[in-house]
Amino acid sequence: MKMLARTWSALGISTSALTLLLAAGCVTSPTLQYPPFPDQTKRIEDPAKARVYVMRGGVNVFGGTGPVVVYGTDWAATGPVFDPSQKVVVPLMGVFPDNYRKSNERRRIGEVGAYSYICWETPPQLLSFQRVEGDTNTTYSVDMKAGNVYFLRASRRPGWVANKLIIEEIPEPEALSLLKDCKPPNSYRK
Amino acid sequence: MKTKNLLENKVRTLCLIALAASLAGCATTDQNGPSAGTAANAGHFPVRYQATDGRIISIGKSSTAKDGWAFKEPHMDECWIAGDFTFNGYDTLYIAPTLSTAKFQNDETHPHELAKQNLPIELKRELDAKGIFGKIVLSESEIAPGAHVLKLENTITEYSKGGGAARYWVGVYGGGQPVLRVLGKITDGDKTVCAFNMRRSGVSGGARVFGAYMKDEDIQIEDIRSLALDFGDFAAAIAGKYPAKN
Repeated sequence: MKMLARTWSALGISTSALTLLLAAGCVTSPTLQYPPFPDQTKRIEDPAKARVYVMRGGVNVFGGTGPVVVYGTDWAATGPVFDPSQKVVVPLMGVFPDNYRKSNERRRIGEVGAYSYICWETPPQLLSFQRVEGDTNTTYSVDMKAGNVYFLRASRRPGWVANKLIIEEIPEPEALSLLKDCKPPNSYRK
Repeated sequence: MKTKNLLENKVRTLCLIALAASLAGCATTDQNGPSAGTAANAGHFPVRYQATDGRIISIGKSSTAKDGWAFKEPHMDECWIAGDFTFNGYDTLYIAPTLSTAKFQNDETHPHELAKQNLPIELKRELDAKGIFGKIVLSESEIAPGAHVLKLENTITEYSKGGGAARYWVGVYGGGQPVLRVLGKITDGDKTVCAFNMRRSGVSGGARVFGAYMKDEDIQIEDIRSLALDFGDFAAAIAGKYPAKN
């Protein structure tokens, strides 16, 4: 009986330690991006391009503390190539059956951790994604036009099998308010 | 009774591991290496610098060696630069496709190929952010005619993809962690101006504590990022992008 009590006690300490680990942010991910990070003092650096922000507020612990990984096919997507075996592990923006072809290589644009954002400029194009990952009824496209700025908010929510990625296009005032709480990619922090 | 003892030992070990990882900060981005506390200006170069993101980094003590400087860089096994080399004054850095002389098993072919591909990508990302070079390219065709070019060649000399089962039991001690050793050589024309030797093996706290539940490739990319971060910090410090910190 005494032994069992000691075991429970140790288990309690262990759980507390693991909670500490989570609270310390040990399992949160860095924020990084592969295309150049544009000058944040300017609304847009190249008027012939559109600017995109993907930002993320706090972390829903039950939705996982890992990164939101953003993929693309244009020149900005210069990171590691999409690995199909990753699909069920990490929420991915920009990869879903409608727009993924094996012949059309998708590469990583960046990864967004909690309270962070990534930002890049891209030639005008149609950016398609699923607002709710895995839900084919939520496919959404943003017609990105030169000189405009687009704000996307990413979040992770718990699902039965895997966490789901939620992407919303948000209005500029709301985005600017959220941006104040978010940090740029780790390599560009000052 | 014996089972209870075993259970208690296992729980205690887990508890200690979690606390140790917590105290260690769990992160690979903490650049306070073993010599971070040593006095700055021990050699030709200061030892400690402040990165733009506020981290205090250490590049180790420098001493003269082979017409240049050798560093006891805490994040590298070997590190050397030519006497007059500072990474400055070049239009373009060309990161050549990664070579490999490492021996590996058949089932390691795919992750080994990923490591070869991702190393230049992660180095480019890290060095781009430092603003040392006007342009960083991964293909020779992107080099502008007449540009003053520095070439970085990396060779993987040791490789293992690791294994989840081994990480479950002894991952915290390094068992089952992927292994990657890279020899880097930077040349200006025919002249070697920098050489380094770096090894990584499950460096993140996550890989050590939760490694059994992580994919080999995910730990491997963390290792590559750690390697790229440390080389980027070293280059930025030598190039004068980071102020010295006493």
